[in-house]
Amino acid sequence: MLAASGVSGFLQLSVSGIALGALYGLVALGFVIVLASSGVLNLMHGGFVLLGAYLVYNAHNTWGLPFPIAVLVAAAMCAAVGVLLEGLVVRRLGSHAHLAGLLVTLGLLYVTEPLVTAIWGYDQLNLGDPWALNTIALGDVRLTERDIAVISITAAVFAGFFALFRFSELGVAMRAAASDREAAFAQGISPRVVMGVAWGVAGVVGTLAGLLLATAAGGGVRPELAQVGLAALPAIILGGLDSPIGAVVGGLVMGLAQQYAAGYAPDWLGQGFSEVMPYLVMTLLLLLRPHGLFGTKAVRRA
Amino acid sequence: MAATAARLPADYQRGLTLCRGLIQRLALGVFLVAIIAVPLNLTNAFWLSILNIAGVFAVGTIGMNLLSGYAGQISIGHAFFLSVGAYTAIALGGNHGWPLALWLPASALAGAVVGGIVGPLALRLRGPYLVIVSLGLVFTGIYIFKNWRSVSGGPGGVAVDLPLTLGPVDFNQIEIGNTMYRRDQSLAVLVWAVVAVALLVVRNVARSRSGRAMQAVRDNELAAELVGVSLMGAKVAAFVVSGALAAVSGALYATLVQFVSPEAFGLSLSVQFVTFAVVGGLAATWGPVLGALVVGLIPQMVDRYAESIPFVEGGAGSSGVGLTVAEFSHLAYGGLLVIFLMTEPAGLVALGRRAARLVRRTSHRHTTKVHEPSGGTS
Repeated sequence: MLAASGVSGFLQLSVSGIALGALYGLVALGFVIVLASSGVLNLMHGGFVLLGAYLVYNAHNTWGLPFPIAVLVAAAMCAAVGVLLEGLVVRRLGSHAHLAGLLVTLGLLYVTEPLVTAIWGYDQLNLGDPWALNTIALGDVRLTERDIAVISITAAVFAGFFALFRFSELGVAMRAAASDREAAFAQGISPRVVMGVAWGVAGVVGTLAGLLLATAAGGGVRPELAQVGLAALPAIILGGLDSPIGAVVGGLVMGLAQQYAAGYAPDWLGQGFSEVMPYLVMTLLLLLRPHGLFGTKAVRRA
Repeated sequence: MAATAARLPADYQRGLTLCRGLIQRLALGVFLVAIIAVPLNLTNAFWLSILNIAGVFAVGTIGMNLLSGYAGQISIGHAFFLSVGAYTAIALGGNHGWPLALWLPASALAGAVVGGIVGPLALRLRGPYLVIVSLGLVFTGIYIFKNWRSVSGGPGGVAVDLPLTLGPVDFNQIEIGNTMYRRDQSLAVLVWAVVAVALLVVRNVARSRSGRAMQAVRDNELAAELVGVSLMGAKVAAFVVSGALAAVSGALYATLVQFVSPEAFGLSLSVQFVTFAVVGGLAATWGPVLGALVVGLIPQMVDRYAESIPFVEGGAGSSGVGLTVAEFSHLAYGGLLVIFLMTEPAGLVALGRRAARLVRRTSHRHTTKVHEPSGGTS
């Protein structure tokens, strides 16, 4: 699909790799937020990606809201779903929530997929996003408007997230909960608030990731988006399970690795090699550095 | 039941014996007779298909139960081990014509070897890490088998026709006296005989030294290590046995459905096994069989009664309205997983025990005035 010859081919692959990696990073951020604050690997995050994309579609195309407002409405709805699920399901699992939480969120993901297809059907839907596939030439490298939108929106989300995480009182509470849950709660930080907020933020981040994934060429809003969401999981391993910065870096590395594999892998590696590339990178890293590039060792021991 | 064990933690003593008391021994005898008697006397194709697929899934779930229930390792890579078994059987039994007595053990061996390779990863990777790596196994497996065309037939899949003769018995067509039995009847005998062997294997592993080591690792790794349990040994053993059983399940699955494609061994197959294991009851001998029988019933029932279930589409839907049988089953599996983990994490087996205790207690109250033994904890 991509002509990979010479320097311009390399740059072209790099640009699409960064766009893909930014999305992986965005999805990974949602996993990391919940994992760091509650210790649960929330597989339902794939469901947030799926649900978010469909809610944006619904708000924009069915209710006729302008696109930016539709995104806000969808993000708010998805956040509400996240807060509700945390309060009604995950919190009730009690103290042994780590593994049970993982299985419960897997169950929730498998409930979400058929519900979404029951409401919106199996067909690919056109999101009606404002970013056309017009290309802008920068020297030999061609950028689509959509790539630029993806990269700039993800950068803005990350900047906003890190500002909140660093400077707001809630962000400090969440970081405290992430670094030592017991100690933070003993200091009067409310676990309910922290976890509720984490799930809500995951819903918002998932919605954004879902709608951007749905704008990919030949993509559209479709039931497979949940699986695409799970493809970001190797990125969080690369970055370390509890590190938001790691999510970004891990996502970018995986996106680049996948695009370079798509461009340069020899034919004998067969079909679909680029899609398993992130898992191969992940396995290699795990053998060398089990707690990821940015993670703390404690996560592994817990 | 065992009143003598009132003082001891019941589970340890219970774990050491193969069968407790006469009733269990009788039940085991009945089960062994039923393996042959039920399929050969059941002629309804619908119920036989349920019996067959539930048996195939039970074998894999028994393996998953050893890994997750006894050794405490959560994996969603089970589908990968099934595909290893299925394609080993297809390569050796189908392409090279090996007999049943060779291709089935060879599948088990292949699963065990792959389990032995994956197992050591569990030593370094816990909880979420292990789950993500196991997810990677599933996607890598699909990639490998899609491209390994000589065995798998590529993405389009391959028809499966394996030799099923064992000594004088042909499991395509069992013949007793002058009576010929159908393929689904004959296969059910083979499948449930394998279930019995799998149950025996896991029951024996669980009560052996290495099985108790697995349970110690599950409950507290640090404490287990301190009393001399090798974490590596226990985890790898769990992966080896569970991998072998999953592979056998995959080989039988290919035999039963007679057509497999690499995509069939995707994440949803793994989720299915997780659901069977949790709903049936983790760390309980009969839990997997119960889970596979009860939960495995769902897609078949939905398929049969599609017209009378709301939101389910009967045939292949092009309009995109309503759920397919597969989608409805996903909904049911996911829902059951959530409901059971929230309300009865010990599964159907625990529900059954609770019901039995309730019945016993009420009948006690009616017949005698003897007071309840206090140990109502198990």
